[in-house]
Amino acid sequence: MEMKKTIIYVAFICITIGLLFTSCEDMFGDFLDKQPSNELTKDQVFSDWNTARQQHLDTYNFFRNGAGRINSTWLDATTDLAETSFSGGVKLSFNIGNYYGGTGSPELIETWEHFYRGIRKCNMTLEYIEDVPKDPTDSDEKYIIDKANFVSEARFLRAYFYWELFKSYGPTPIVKEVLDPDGDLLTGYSTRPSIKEYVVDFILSELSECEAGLMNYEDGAKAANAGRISQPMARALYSRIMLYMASPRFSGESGVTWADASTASKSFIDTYGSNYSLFKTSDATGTAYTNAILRTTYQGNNTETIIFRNSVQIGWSAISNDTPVGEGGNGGLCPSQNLIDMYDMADGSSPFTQYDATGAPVYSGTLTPSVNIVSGYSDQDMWENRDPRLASTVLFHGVSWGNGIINVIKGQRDNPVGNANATPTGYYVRKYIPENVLSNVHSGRSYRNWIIMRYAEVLLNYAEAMNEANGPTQEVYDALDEIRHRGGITGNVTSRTDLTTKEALRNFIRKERTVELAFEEHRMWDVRRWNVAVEALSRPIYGVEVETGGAIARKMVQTRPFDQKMYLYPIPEAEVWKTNIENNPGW
Amino acid sequence: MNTRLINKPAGIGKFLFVGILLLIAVATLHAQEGKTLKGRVVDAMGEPVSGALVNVSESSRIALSDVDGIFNLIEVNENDELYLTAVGFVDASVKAEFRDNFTVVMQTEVNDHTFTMPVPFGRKEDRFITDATSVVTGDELKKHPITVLQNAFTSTVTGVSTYEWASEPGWTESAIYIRGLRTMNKSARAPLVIVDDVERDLSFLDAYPIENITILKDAASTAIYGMRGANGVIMVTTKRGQAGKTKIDFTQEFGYQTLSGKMEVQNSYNMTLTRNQVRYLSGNDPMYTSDQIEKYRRVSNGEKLEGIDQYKYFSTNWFDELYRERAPMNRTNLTVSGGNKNTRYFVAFTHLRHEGMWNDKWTEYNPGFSTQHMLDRFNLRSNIDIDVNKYLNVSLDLGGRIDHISQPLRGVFDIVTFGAVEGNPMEPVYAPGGQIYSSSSAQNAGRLLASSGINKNRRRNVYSTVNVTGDLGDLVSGLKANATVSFDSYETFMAQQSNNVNSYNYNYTSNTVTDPSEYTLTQYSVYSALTNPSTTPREYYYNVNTRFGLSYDRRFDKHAVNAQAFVRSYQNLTHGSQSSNRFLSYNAQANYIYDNKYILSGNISHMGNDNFAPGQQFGTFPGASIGWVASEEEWLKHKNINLLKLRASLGRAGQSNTGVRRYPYQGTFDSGTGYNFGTSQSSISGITESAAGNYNSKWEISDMANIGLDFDFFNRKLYGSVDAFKEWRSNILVTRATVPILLGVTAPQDSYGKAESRGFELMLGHQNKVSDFHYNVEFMLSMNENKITEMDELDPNVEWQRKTGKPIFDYTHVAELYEGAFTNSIGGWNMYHFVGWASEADKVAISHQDAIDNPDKYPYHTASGTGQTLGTAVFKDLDGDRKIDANDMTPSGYTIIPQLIPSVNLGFSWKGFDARMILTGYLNRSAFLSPSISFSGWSNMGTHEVTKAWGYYTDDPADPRNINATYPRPTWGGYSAIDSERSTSTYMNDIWIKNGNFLSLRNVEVGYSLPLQLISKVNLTKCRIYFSGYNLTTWSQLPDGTDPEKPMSYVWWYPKTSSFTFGINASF
Repeated sequence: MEMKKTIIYVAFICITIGLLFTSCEDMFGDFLDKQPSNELTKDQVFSDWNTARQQHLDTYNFFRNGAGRINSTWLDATTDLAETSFSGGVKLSFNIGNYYGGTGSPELIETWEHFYRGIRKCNMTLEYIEDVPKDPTDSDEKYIIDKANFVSEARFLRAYFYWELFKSYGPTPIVKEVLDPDGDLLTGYSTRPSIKEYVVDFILSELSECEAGLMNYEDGAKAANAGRISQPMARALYSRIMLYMASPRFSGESGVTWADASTASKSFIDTYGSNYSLFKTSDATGTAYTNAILRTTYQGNNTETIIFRNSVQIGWSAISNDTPVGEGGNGGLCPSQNLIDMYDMADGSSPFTQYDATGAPVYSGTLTPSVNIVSGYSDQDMWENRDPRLASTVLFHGVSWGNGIINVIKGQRDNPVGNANATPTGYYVRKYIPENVLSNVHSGRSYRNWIIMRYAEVLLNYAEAMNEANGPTQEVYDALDEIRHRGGITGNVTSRTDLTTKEALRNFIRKERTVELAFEEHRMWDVRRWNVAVEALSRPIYGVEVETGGAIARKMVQTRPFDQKMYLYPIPEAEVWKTNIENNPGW
Repeated sequence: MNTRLINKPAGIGKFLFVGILLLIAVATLHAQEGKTLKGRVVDAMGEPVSGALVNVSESSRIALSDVDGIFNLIEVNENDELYLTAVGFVDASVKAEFRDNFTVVMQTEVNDHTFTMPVPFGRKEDRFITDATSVVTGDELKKHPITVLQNAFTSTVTGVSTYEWASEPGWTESAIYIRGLRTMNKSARAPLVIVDDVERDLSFLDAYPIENITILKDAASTAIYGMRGANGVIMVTTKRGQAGKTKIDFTQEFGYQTLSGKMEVQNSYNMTLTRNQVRYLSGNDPMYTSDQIEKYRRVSNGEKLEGIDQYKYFSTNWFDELYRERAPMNRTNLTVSGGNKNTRYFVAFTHLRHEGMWNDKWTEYNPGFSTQHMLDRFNLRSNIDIDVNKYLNVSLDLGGRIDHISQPLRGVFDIVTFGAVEGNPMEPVYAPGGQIYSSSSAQNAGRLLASSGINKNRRRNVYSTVNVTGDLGDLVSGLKANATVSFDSYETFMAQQSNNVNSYNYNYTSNTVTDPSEYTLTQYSVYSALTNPSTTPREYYYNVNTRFGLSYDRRFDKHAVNAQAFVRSYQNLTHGSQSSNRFLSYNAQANYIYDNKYILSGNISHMGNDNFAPGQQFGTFPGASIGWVASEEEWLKHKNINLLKLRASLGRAGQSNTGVRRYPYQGTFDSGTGYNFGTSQSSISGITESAAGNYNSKWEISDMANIGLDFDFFNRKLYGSVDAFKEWRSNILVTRATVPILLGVTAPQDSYGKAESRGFELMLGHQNKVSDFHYNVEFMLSMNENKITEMDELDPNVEWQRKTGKPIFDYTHVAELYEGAFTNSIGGWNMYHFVGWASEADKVAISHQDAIDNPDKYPYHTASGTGQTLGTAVFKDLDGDRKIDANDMTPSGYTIIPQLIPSVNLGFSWKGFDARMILTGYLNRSAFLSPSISFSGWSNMGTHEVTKAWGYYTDDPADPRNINATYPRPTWGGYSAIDSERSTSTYMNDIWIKNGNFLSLRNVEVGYSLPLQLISKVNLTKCRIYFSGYNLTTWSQLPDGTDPEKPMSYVWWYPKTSSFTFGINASF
């Protein structure tokens, strides 16, 4: 009896455990498999057309918005065109030559990181898009076209990102693959390419090669696509880079001539001259020049903008950092007298007798350059009768703006005592700031896209290259007049007797370029490519003091150091250690 | 009405008590059926044993043997099983025999360490344990009248440090570190908690059902837990029923908590002096006239001012408004256990009630409800073992916990910080008409409490385990099969109700008002009744554990073999966005003992976790230890050498909880910013790579060697143990400093780092008696130190900032220690070193060049602009470049986790009295203070110790500016950039980072037990009344009133408390 029981129990237990174990084996077979989870993986992203597309189009976010780019300060505040009123801005870093310290220094690291992140994104599209299956609702044809289009777009964007890196750091390692963090990150990236390898053989050739696969102008201009990269953009960027490469700083290494550069610009004008033009509509909200900046291609029929960072409508918070303190803003970007002095008179004559290769009048140690008497210019009414673009770019004492009148007399509305944000130069910025945002107690809204390239630049590129290649010709004068007339200047360049030599015209073109493209992130790079950065950027920043009676006195605002090494940013120190690449000269 | 509401749950204790009295009455009045048994208890030598408890098995009726060993037990039937216990004797059980000279022999208990202790997945005789372990007994735990169990560890075992980082009722939490920090990864330091062989939550367990807690310290003992055991294991074993007497144990404790330290605050008079002095130093006019100062002096002295002045001059201590003197707490426990040889049970029920420290003047301000913190915690534990038959044993364990927490809806930080820490003593509590005074700058602790609303939290946890053991001994002798399945569930609910009260302000500083009627009140907040509760969806998660295995235990002559093999799975299922975490392991343990002398023990776990890449999920973790019980050797065997054991172990354990995200091997994408295209500006949602995957994100590996010695001489007259260990930690997740940015995505952390730790633990005890006086002394010392040996570090600017080769500091920004919820941050920093105060104007360098040109000047501080303000700190110029910048910082001091923990435990008993005391020190430790606790709150609200600040008004003519001050000069409207700017790294200096060593009187307990002869008459086996105090006092170098354990947290969050408890414990 007892024995039987024992056998039954033992059998029972054995069977139970046996069953448990066998079923456990089964259960354990997939027990550690990945559970359904909400992480989106690379495989998932690139196995669906829609997610792959979203991954690709998100790359557009790497177009930087120049307004407030460095610690709420604009890039142009690091040039002779402006000073910032922010003590936390670049005033105490870049502008006193302290690249590594202070609050401006994140620009040095962030620029590097930002674009290499963008580049990785492009590389992802390029590497993985081929195998992404078609969206079932798309036709085979659309699938093929879209795919080719994405690839070309990614190549364009990648070339643009490398170009931006080049301007700041010079040639940097070219990464054309999606790097594996576990893999070898040094081989191939520890040396720096030459300018020719980097710009000519890579960036420029990428731009030419990708052009065909991009949307043509008509498709790019379609309601659904505005803002997407299209063929003219590649052509336009190409013209700009060619101009840089033909410039004194780079031509020796690049092998690009002024003739090549003029051809590149001409090619854009010839091909797309009927699609793009200077925007000439002036109305109650602004001059043609103002509108050319603030109107969008898609809402305001702006045919001038070529490449831009698309932004939705902005309100007070987006501009308050660059609005006069009397309006309740924080001052921000404050144009310098140096910029004011570069504007011609309304009739096209020069207020000063002599200009140098930086485009600025020659100060020869005084606060006021020697005045060209014939022009009728006087310091006491310095804002009268000037190139209308001055008033469209700068807010000066006495102009009506927003909800009041600019008053920079010490202790008055826009220059109160003790307000650190009050303008140091006596000016506030007007360009790029939509005035209608200020209406109804700052409740207005407006579009404001950040312009990366516009048609006026192509004309200026063309004029500069043509003058350098062929000296003063009618084509050069025409291009300049087209821009100046749109800006509101009445006279013609041909009627100027002082612009008959290539050299005189060169300085004039540089001044014209600086004025037309002020605050659009050109000055910083232009003075470098012209090899005149030391002259332009070590010059003191001037401003004005408006006295109680209304008398205007010039003053010095800031002395600025600029060493040869500052032509390029230092490559972030840690990156140099990590990759063994050579840092830029002097750093 | 209010008070009744609050006291309602406290009645449970009384109810229970009454119930038990009834039970006793019933038992005593039970009909007299059986006969009275007379017998005698003797020891092996035939000497009578007095004081032995005799009862019939499974009943609680007792008799006590007298000096002659004679007992009379009533109501005994023929063949009843008798059950005998006596101190110093082994429990005995015999059949009752109604005959003359019925004698029971009890064997003397021999102190040979053969009692068994829990070890992972089994039990072992104490003398055969060869790993580094420490044990806290349940009896010890019960003596700590605290709501967090682990706080009892530090002072009672070696190798463990705890760090209480929140003391709020219901939310009390401690971090535990076994053998120090050991890894740079802050998220990988928590030890594993195992309750009855299952991974569970410890912090909310209750002491009563715990048999003991074993701390497994070396890798050889934790290897069996595979990739979870590297930080040591806290293994909790709950009590189980014993066959024999039915035991009923009842405990009722009443107690209260008080603030462990009261921060001294400035009164208004000091404020006026401070403010005037601060203004004087800055070249400004005084803020207060001498007339005003005099009035403030008078109110600060407690004088009542006359006329209108009483509405103008105040000296409010906001902490007095915020806290009450004492907060009640009480605890009731009823435990019933017993059983026969087939079925045994253990059931415990505990109710804990714990109220908050908030001033009840304000929490009871609103009729009908209270905004006080109130925790009601109900713990239930039931462990049942059933021997179904000879072959099958089933046990069913059920545990449950319900927490009801009612607390102010307003955050504790807001109440404490805005209500009191930053409160200005010059502000009134009430407006002239008696209304609550409040303004945006004077938040008024009272108003904050009264208008706080109620936040109700409910937590419900259920722990359940079914264990089935089959004896296969008939098949293979010593073989057993075992299956365990457990299911634990955790749920939380929350309901929130808000309310508001009327409060007003008036211009009390007005000079023109001469009569209170002239003041106009401005309403600041408006009454609103308590709203309906808004509830948050409940949160829940549950854990499922399984274990299936075979075990073998047999002795052949001199060879004892014990082995087991089992498969374990663990999964944690959460309702949140994460998928369940899963672990699977194949394990084996074996133990071989030759002749009770030589021990060889080994275990191995092959464990996998689903978080790692397929194919790389499993790791193997072996451990082995050897032991030599020298006291068993014939040549050493002696009655005065109770134990002498040498042991050594070597093992590998892992730590897979590294704080890394789910599936770190896969790169993940996330929604990007998106971008607008087209004329209609339609936004396209973007997708962007959020993290790169890394196949080398693995579990940490701890390789540890340990040697140890356990001894017990002269029957515990000298006993103790010594352990020394060395750990090599590898696979520590570190940020790869050498991965360049041009990768284009943030480089994932990589299991690349290495660290080493070493240390020792020492415990020495002495136990003796002098006639009736029993006493014992235990001394403990734990030490550990560590260093980083590999962390992929870039070359630092200056050699002294290299981290590799240095001890582990958490190189976190000071702000993390300073604000935030004070989670697990433990400190460690690069800092400037204080040399002296800049007290001489002509020594201040106005530029770097100036400092170079004039070597006698102070080095130039880059944060000082064109010159340092007098009274700010001059720091050490480490690199000698005459400029103080980041290069002059160096890690210094220690972390907040101590390196050295000495502890002394003293106890004695005499007749019925007993007492004990625990003293613990935390040494080699740094603590962080903040400027605001020392002399200045955020808005210049002078608080504590401002008199120790540079430049403070002083009567000493030789030191007119108090230039030998402890703290920098207080400044008007903020901080000096040089030594106290909170937003810059200059904040990190040794003015604020202090020696954090402290000595704490953790526990004092005094008790009296009624004589057994007396209480046995009512069948009581024990009746003890006691008083216990916890966290009684601390000695440290920190400012008065700041608790050294976590100084900043206890200023801004819920305060640190001391507990005092009176209790009665009765057993039947």
